[in-house]
Amino acid sequence: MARRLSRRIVFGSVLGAVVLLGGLAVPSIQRFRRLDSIRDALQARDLATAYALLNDHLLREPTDSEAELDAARTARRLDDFDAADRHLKRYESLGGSSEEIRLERRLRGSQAGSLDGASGALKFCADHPDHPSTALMIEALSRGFLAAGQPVRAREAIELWLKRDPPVADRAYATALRGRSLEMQADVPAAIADYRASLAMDPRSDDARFALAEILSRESPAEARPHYEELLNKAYRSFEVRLGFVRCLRQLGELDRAAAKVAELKRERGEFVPVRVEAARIALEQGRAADAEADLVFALERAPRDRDAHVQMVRCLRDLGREADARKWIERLTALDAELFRNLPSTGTKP
Amino acid sequence: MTRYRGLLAAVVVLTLTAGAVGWFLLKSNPPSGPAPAPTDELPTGPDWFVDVTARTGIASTYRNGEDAKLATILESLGGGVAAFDFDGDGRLDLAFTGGGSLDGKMIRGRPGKLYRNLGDWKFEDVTERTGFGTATDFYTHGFAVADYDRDGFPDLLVTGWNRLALLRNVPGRDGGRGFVDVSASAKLPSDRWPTAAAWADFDGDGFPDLYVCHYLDWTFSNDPHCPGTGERDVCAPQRFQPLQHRIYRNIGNGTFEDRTASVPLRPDGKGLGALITDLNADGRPDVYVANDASDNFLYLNRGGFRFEEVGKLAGVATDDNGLYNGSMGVDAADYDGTGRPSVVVTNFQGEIHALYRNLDGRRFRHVSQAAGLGRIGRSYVGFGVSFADFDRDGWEDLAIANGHVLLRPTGSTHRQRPLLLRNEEHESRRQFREVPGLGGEYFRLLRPGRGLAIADLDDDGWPDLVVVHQNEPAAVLRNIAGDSHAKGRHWLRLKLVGKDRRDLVGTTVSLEVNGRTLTRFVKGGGSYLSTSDPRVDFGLGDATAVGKLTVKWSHGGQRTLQGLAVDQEHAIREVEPNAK
Repeated sequence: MARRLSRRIVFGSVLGAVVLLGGLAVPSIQRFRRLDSIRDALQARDLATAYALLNDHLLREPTDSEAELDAARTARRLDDFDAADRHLKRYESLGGSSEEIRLERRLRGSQAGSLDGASGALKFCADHPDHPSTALMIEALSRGFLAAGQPVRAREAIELWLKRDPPVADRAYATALRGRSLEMQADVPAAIADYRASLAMDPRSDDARFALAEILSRESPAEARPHYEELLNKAYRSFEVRLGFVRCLRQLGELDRAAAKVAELKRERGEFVPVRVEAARIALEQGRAADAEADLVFALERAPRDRDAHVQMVRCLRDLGREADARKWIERLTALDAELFRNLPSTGTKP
Repeated sequence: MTRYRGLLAAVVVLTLTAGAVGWFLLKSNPPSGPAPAPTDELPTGPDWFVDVTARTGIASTYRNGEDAKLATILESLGGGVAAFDFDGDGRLDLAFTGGGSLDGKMIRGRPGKLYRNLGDWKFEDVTERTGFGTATDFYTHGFAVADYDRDGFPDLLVTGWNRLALLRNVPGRDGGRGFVDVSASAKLPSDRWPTAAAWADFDGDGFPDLYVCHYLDWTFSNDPHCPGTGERDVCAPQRFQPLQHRIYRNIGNGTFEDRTASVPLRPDGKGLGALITDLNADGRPDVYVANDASDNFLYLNRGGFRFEEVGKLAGVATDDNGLYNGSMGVDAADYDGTGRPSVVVTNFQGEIHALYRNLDGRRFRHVSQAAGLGRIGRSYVGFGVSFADFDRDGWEDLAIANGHVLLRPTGSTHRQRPLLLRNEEHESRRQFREVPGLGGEYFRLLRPGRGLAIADLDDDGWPDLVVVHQNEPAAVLRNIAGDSHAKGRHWLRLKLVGKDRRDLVGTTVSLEVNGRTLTRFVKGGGSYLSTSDPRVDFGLGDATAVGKLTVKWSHGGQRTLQGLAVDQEHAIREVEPNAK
């Protein structure tokens, strides 16, 4: 009887211990899973998911300073600078490293295109490829140079980034950024090649798909169309994608459909100059010069130095047979072109 | 104890299993990529053309000297073809430029080839017998054909590096015809870099005058090293300064007078294409010039050898973004039934081949997108281009020869697919669409295309094609559209003869058919470095009868005829102005 009782006690104790251990382990396992999911999302460059998971984690563990720093970085990488500031302040209040705070503030400045000391930072990255901060610094610098309209230096930073053999999602992103720098340097074929390569590495990248669709809508509109259609299905950056799709339809000569769609965009954001200029372009292609003129007058009132609006105004007035007016706008366009040419930033040496 | 071990083992196994399942569930969110996007719009359908080069006996290869591996811009231009009846036997013969070679810093010539059309797709090489080989033994590019001395036989102007050769068509040794270089006695200077040229009687004296494009100031002493992708590649034209184009008045006594300064011509065009026809319906031939990397020109003929350059104002100098293009080939036709000639221009990679719709003769609209040319994309580098109603449906189609100038281009290929575009109606307007099946095997493969000419070589009423390639044999393509989908369609062709053999460029012909008016234009130059069939050609669709034909002769007068028989060629002679 005593043996049986003893067995029951032992069995109960073991079971209790297991339950107790399990109970104690669950939060740790959940924490482990959360952090692992965040790591995975960051590794996959799914920054929106990573940021959401970080916020969820911080609700549960508001004193996790490292998570606050990660949230600040992730928000910055998502261009949400206000949120980044909030997280960084909390990180500071939790006794976070002042060195990390300084670095993060500098990265934010760089990413936004404020490039004081960028050369030194780039040199640091080149000299210390394995430093833990190098990856973040190169990314911020690459984006910053692009934001500041310095594609040649951006490319320098991006090449450095790619040389470090980053994870595939970062490699895809860096390749798309290089495509952007090449596009800014008017090397369209090379830019297309990079956007394609980026999308092949990371087919989920809507940014790369949109960049590819935008450039292909001019270069090969038939190929651009399915990319736009996929983005439209996902409702990704809806307005911009719809405007790009309208341009693609114009390039394809499907003017009736383009006109219907641009009319929708005009109803939604009629004050947006690119929409009015696009509406004018489609109207001109359809031989509706009077309609085009109304859109162009509106666009030029809001953006008096918009080159495309000037070009289309010349075409419009020519179509309307107002030769003297067309001459005046040709003169304005010539002056604007001269000014744009004078102010053109150097994009590297000519081949 | 064993039982406890069992229990512990069960707990561990359960925990591991649950962990593994959880882990799997956490990880099992594989990326789902979209299906690959279609990369082209390639329909299927019957062939329009068959390559008959082998059976013709024509074996002409334009050589540009690229084997010297110097990658000069000289090599990028290529050569052309002329379709003309040099011996007056009624069949169109073919002349090809030979190009040349580069030996160190020496530019050497390579004779062209002249083939006499024997009929039934047989051609005889008469290069040596006619003196054509000797006369074209310099680094050549293209041709312009006209009867400059009005003796009834077409003469040849040959362009090339540092040379402009006027080959007069003269009686030959064996009772046939031959060619003699009369450039010096004609006072046509051989210098700089003549490329495209075009003939037309600008001043109404009956003798064809001459517009000659010059390209740019490349020489071996101005030959910068331009890095391509890896090795040296051809420099962009922006690295060089333009050369002055020239315009010559044919005095009528076998000599020419340079009127460049008195016109005056613009000095800033890197000319590669020239087309002359009456663009503003005033009866006088106007000049359109396709320039590489600079604005295109439109010189409206104001009479008395006066011209006004109106390209920018008329809307034909730049594209729809107000930017100049790298333009090469040019042609004009009434593609949309307005009765006015619209202008098509082939352009460089990254640009769209331009179609300038003629609104009223003074104003043009860039309608490439509206007309469907945007669909083909911007990876092509276009050269030869010609309108022709290949399927005889009464609407002018387009053929374009493409090929890159760079040896190792980025985002494109050195060899490129030629394009055959059918004129169709979409959204209630005329648009160009790639021909189903791409028109035959020739149009399915990549080619290093340059010059292109349209010519009905077998006089069956269906326009054939000849295309010149860089360093590869030229192709002769027979139109067989009438064997398949276009079977049963009809045609009508005119051979216009000017009074006292005067030049007729600028003449406009309209024909009433089935309630439509088809309009055709007599043109000088056009395409790229090439000369096409000089006859005026109508596809009639299913119509078996036609209505009134009106010929508005250049410089005045018109002639009307009724009820011409279809599926035939008719010779129409000019009569005195105002006669009916």
